[in-house]
Amino acid sequence: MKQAKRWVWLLAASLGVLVFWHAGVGVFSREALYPYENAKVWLERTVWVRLQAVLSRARSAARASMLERDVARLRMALAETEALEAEVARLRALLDFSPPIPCRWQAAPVLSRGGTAAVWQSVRLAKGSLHGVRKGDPVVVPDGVVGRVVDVSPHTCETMLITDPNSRVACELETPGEGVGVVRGILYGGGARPAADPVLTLLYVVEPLRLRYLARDFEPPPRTRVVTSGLGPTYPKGLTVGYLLESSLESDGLSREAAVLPAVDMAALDEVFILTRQGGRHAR
Amino acid sequence: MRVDMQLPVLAFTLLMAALMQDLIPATAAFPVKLVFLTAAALYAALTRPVWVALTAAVWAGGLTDALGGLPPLCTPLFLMLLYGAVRLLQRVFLEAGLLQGTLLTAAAAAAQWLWTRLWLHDGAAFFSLDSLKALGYTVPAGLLAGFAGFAFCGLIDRLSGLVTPVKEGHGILWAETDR
Repeated sequence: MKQAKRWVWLLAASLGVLVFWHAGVGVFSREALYPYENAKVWLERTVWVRLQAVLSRARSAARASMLERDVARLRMALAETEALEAEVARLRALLDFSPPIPCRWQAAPVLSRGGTAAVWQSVRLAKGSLHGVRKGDPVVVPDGVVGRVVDVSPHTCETMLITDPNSRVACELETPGEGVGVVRGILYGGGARPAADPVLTLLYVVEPLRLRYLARDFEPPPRTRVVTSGLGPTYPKGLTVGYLLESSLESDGLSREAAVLPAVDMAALDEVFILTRQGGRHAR
Repeated sequence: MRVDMQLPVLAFTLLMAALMQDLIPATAAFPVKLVFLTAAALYAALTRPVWVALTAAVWAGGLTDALGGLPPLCTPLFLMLLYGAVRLLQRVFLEAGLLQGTLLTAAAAAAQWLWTRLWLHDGAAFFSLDSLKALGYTVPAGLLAGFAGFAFCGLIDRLSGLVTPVKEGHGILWAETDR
């Protein structure tokens, strides 16, 4: 009877915690799983890669894996440098522009995808508030934008992918054409589904994203690169989001809508980069 | 009922279930998660006293919601209702056997998918082909999770000494030996 009473109190306390401290439960749960998920990442990177090298009788497998990571980091640095060069040229023309806010790219391995429910398009990364990550920080790979951080714990963070139906990204078309000006729109996440063609059921084909509220009078050509416009509070300007497939007028006829294929293969994410800012908004 | 072993065994099985459910990703070929936490809660519903089973349901549901980004109390309420349904059907599910657990978890997985969509006010999703396909995938996902979950929970119970196997000749159900 006494033990049953203890369990009753434990049940009541658990319900109370869930109701009044749900955010804390999330942080606690992610931190509790973090050591095991991080160990899995470590095993994959060290033991599995080396085992593959032994089995394939080539040391180049492990070396190639390390080189690929180095190349990815260098490509990120190069992309940042190119963007900085363009900005310097622009600033020289404008003169009295304020200097950019310092920020840095942090590499973060992917711990898990979709959480325990697979309702949202999200991934969990092995970097958290202790590494300077904050809510709203953009997450990218060399190929393009992945998403943004929506929740942070000391060692992990949850990232909502741009393919999530709740995702919104302020975008513009790159070099749409002479005399057109800047064409901007809002990118809506479309979720992900298997391909309709049964031959491709094993491939992770993402439903195209929708770029809405484009100028109705300009029909962008296919394969136009879609980049972030920098107008929102999250993504700096110039990051690749995807490539335009086709466009059509929206049902009300007031604007144009386009289908965009994301530049990043979300199913193949292994390591990503988080832009952590040091005070205020992002630099660009 | 020994609280000194019930609590750590429950915490360990739920932690392992949460870890497996979180790590194994949903893919294009299999776009649903394996509901190990639900299987663990169902195992507790069949083998534990009422307050322990309800606590397991709340913890399993809380972990599912916290790690899956769902609203609070979405899955705990479902699992508590599921516990009530299981107790009503106790005359059918006499023991926490692998077959019963596997089938029960398969049914629970489909019901949980529907419950979650309703809780998220995603009623329009019911009528899309993709959603019906996803609902169909929940049944084999539940079968896998139920089999693995009940086998693991039974193993942990035997290793911890909470349950002692009984010979069939005695006619006593093994799940009844340590209530």
